[in-house]
Formats: sequence, C-alpha cells, structure tokens
Amino acid sequence: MANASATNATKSVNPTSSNGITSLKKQVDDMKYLKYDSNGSNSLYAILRLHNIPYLVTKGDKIILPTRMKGVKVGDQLTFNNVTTIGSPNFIFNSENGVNPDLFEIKGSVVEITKEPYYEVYRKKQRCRRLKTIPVQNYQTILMINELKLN
Amino acid sequence: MPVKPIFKPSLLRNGLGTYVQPCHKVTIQYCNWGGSSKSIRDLLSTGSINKFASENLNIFVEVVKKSGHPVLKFDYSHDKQDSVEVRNKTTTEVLKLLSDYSQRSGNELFKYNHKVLSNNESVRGVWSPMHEHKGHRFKI
Amino acid sequence: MLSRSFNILRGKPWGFSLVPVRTYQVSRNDESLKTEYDDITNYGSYKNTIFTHRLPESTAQQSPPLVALHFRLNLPKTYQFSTLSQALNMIKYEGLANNYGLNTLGKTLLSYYVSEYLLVRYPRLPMPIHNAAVDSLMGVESLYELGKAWGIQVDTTSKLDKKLSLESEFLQYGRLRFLSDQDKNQFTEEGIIELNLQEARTLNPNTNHFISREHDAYASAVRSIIGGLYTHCGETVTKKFIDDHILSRKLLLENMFQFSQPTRELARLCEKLNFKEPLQIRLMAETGRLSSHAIYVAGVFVGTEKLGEGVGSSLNEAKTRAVVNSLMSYYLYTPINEEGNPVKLPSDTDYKLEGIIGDGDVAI
Repeated sequence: MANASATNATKSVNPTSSNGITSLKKQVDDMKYLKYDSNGSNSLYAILRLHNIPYLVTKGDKIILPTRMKGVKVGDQLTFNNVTTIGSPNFIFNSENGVNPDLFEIKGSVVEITKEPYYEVYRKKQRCRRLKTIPVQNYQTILMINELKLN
Repeated sequence: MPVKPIFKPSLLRNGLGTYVQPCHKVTIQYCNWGGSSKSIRDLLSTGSINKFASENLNIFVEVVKKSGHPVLKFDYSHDKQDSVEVRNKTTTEVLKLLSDYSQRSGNELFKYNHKVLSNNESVRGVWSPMHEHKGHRFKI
Repeated sequence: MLSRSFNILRGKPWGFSLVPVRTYQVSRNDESLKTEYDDITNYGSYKNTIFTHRLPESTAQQSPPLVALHFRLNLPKTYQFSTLSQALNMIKYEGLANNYGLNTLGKTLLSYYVSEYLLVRYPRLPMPIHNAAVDSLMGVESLYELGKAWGIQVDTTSKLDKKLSLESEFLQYGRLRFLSDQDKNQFTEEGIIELNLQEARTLNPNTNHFISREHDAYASAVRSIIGGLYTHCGETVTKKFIDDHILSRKLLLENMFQFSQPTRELARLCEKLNFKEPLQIRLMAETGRLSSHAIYVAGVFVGTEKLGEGVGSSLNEAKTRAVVNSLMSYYLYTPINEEGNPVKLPSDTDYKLEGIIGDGDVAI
C-alpha cells in the first residue's frame, strides 16, 4: 500500500490544528449538506492535488500523469489525502489548506504504466550545420479513482 | 407500453472494483547459438527469468527456443499483442523491457492532452446564463 | 455435436415447406448421457452411465495458463485449480467433467445479486428498463467482454496438431474448451459466417445480430468461475467478487429510456401519486425569440414544487425535455438512509428495509 501523500509537494495542513475543534465540527456539519445532496456519494467530485497539481475527479475517472510515478507498480492502491475541494450538484466545500482527511475517502489504483508515442525534437544552433535530434518517449502513469465518498 | 428500453452495453472499468492485469502471457524467444541472444541465455542460466516468473504469478511465461534474433512477445487481454526485438540488448535492458511491457494494457500508445479521462457526466452540469439571478443577468 | 448447419445467406431450406401440424411436447432423453433404467416408469432407477471424472488437482496445478488465471483473478487459496479447469470445459463427451452445473449455479447467483442491486438501488425503474439493465450487466456480451479481459483463451488446436507440435498436455486445461476436433479443423472463409442451429436460434433478423458459440462459451466460463467460487469459498466471497467484477461496471441507465408519449405518461404518473395540485409546464426563461437561435427554458411544476426543467431551441422541445427530465428523475431515484449513505441490500448483514418499494409501472 503506497501512500500518494509521499509524492505531494505541499503537505496537507489539518485545519483542526490551526483553528481548533470548532472548525472541525463546522467542517463535519458542512459535509452533511454535501452528503445528502450527492445522493449517497453518488454524484460527487473532488479536486485533489498530486505533485501540487490539481486534478478534478469523479469516481471511475482515469488520471493520466505524464511521468512514471516513483515507487509504485501496476495494481497498487493509493490513498489521496491532499484534497482542496469536494463538491456535489448544489454545494461545494472548499478549503485552501486542504480538507480534513478524516471526512472523506478517496482512493485510486495504478492501472497502467506505459509510454507516450515516440517523437523527435530537433535543435539547431546558429552557424552550425548540424541538426541535433533528441528522441523523446516519456513515461505515463494512469491511475483510476475507485473510491470517492464522504465518511 | 409506456417506456421502451434501448439496450446499451455496460462499460468495463478495470481497476474500479478490482484490478485484473491486462498482460497475461509473455513469450521469450531466443536462439541457443546466435550471439544476439547471449543476454537471454545468461538470464536463463542465472535464474533471472525464473525470478521474474515467480514475482509475476499472474503472467504465464513461456520460453521458446527458435533460431533468429531474440524477441519478447506480450499477450494482453482482448486479444491484443505486442512484441519487441531484443537483439544484442544487455541483461538489465531486457529485464527492464520485460517489466515495462508487462505493466502496459496493450492499447496503442497515445498522448491524451488533458489531465483526467472521464466517462461520467459533469457533476455540476453546464453553466447556464438563464439560471443567473435576474439582477445579474447580461442585458443586450 | 449438431452436425446440421443453417446458412443465413440461404434463408429457408429448399424443397421443404412448413405445414402447421398439431403436436405435443415429448420429453426425450439426452442420448449422450447414456441413461439406463430398470423400467421406463421407475424414475428412481434412472442412471447416467457416461464416464466422467474430475481432473486431478496435481495435474491442474501443472497448467501454467490455469495457475496464471487463478492468480490474476486473485482467487482464494481454497479455490481448487481443478474446479477452475472444469469451469473452462464445456465439452460433454471427452470424459472430463464439464461446467454445466457450475454454470447454472453461477447464473443463479449472478441474477440474484444483480437484480437485488437494481431493485434496491433503483426501486422505481420500469420493468422493461430493469430487464435491459440486467441484460446490460450480466448478458452474454458483457460476460464475454469480461472473459476476454481476464485473458481466457480458447483451445483451438486439435488433438492431432497437439501431438504433432509436441504441445504440453497441461496447456489445454487452462484454456476454454468448447470446440470439438471437427470444428477446430473446419475450413473457414473470411467474410462468410456459417451459423449452427444453436446460433441460428439467437439470430435477430432485424439487426442480423446473433450470439456466437464463442461468446456463449466465454459467458458460460465466467458464470462457472463464479459458481466455483461459491462452492469453494461461500457466499460473502462470491458477493464481493460479483460486486467487484460485475456491479462495478458503468451502467448507462440514462440512455436506456425511450418515451413514446412523455407528457401523457407524466400526467398519469402524477394522477397515480395523488398530487393535490395540477401539473403545469411553464416557461421559466427565454432569449432571442425573434432570432434564429432562440433558447427557451421550460419547467414542470406541481404547485410550487419543480419536478424538472429542460432547455430547447423551440417551445415544444423545451417542454418535452422538461417532461422527460422530470420522468427520469422519478424513475432513476436512488434511496439513501438517514445518515446519507446508500441503503443496505437484503444480502448485507443487519439488513432492514430502509429504501422504498416501487409502485409499479403506469399505463397510458
């Protein structure tokens, strides 16, 4: 079980530690609206951060990373805990510092580690007849969101 | 009959409920004499292929002795196949190719120019100017 | 197997006309089972003397594709390899036990869990849509796709070819066996499909669609694997397996409705639900009525409650869309419990009825 938070550039800040217990209670209450509105976490989306890049996902979506994710292989389960926004059709819960990870459960699995199609980049320097050819074939990691629900 | 059904097949989402690795068979074809197959012969004699097979129990590894340059063939689900020629490759290169190709799905390589690939409808729907509050609507 | 074949290109066989004859159903023994009895009316003495045996576990363990399949599906250790091999065998005559019983068991389990899921999650789904949804989840085509995704392969080499190419005998035990040696050697021409009687029966003349033997065999293998899982590991494991592999598929329910008279249907529905106030369709917003690209937003109301709304480029379109949307929001309703979670299914532990029971379809 690899943890995706290890690869997050920014660490998610727990709002309870900064604002005290009342803030957490408020977050829990706010989540109730989302929970009922999303029809049992059926229509729910989240904006999660991976390497500090936001990805808007729903359940069953594939995240396509243009790199090879380190330390994972195909079939691994990831837990996402750096989430800035969770939304339902009528409500959005947004927190700049990150939503408390106890309030939701977002998981993904590594579905495929593959490559992008091969292409070449040409570099030409002035007053030099040589054309430098750089072969490019980057890795791609595909993650599938298989759990997105409110606790 | 008030409502008639239109049949729509359901979509397979591998990785949502559980994950079944698409690569199910690897065929390692090598020559017992040719110099280009040297690394494969080394891998076989040192037991690295055995190690690969025991680490990937969900893949059927077949070793075929055939004259010619060595080839790695990969069989994926939905009858997709891929093969890569490994003549004169070093043992580390061959092992890397083995693990790389066995983690693919067998689909054609493509670059998707968006971050997320989705089958689902947008949760919040499309923004509509008609549903703005009357006071904020754009007037011509 | 059935040697008679039926050619779709030819249609009706020549020199043979159908005359209605008064007939009655006669049950016949399956001769291939070599049933023996002391007396024809003494049903207790009926005994099938066809010799079948199960593949020894030690033999099954030596089949690499079978072991790989076992690990790929992440089956529990108690699931025997020989059962998995049996699930892939559809051939009745060659001495090895086939998957007939496992298939029946798997089919029953699948239809129970699938219909339970649909009935509890979508209690108001009309009957025809429910049936189509069941077919979409566990029909032959879906299960065929699943079998392909699991990497099951068909045994296509005949006994003679196996002997000649020195193929290991263990390989065949991990492959799907449904073709007889005669079928395997049959010459096929590209672009021409010859249907056997079984396939011809499933042929839809309007769409030219039929269920091929291969698709049927894959589906049967998938069902049998589920049946085998139930026999070896019990109900909870099977339920989890069906949840993971079948119910996790995306069901396109929103696209499965075809309404003939939506407005009338909605009116009947409101009547049935005993709404006090009349159904009204009102124009909520509009823009560019005099332009070439007008947009109207219509809403369906009962008193102050809005049932649905729709956007269209004409008043009629907006109205129809609004009506269809409100019908869909009724039919595709999913109940949730007091905590806001999806309601429990009857097969879950501590089940009590939290959702609703559908009121049945409306007639126009």
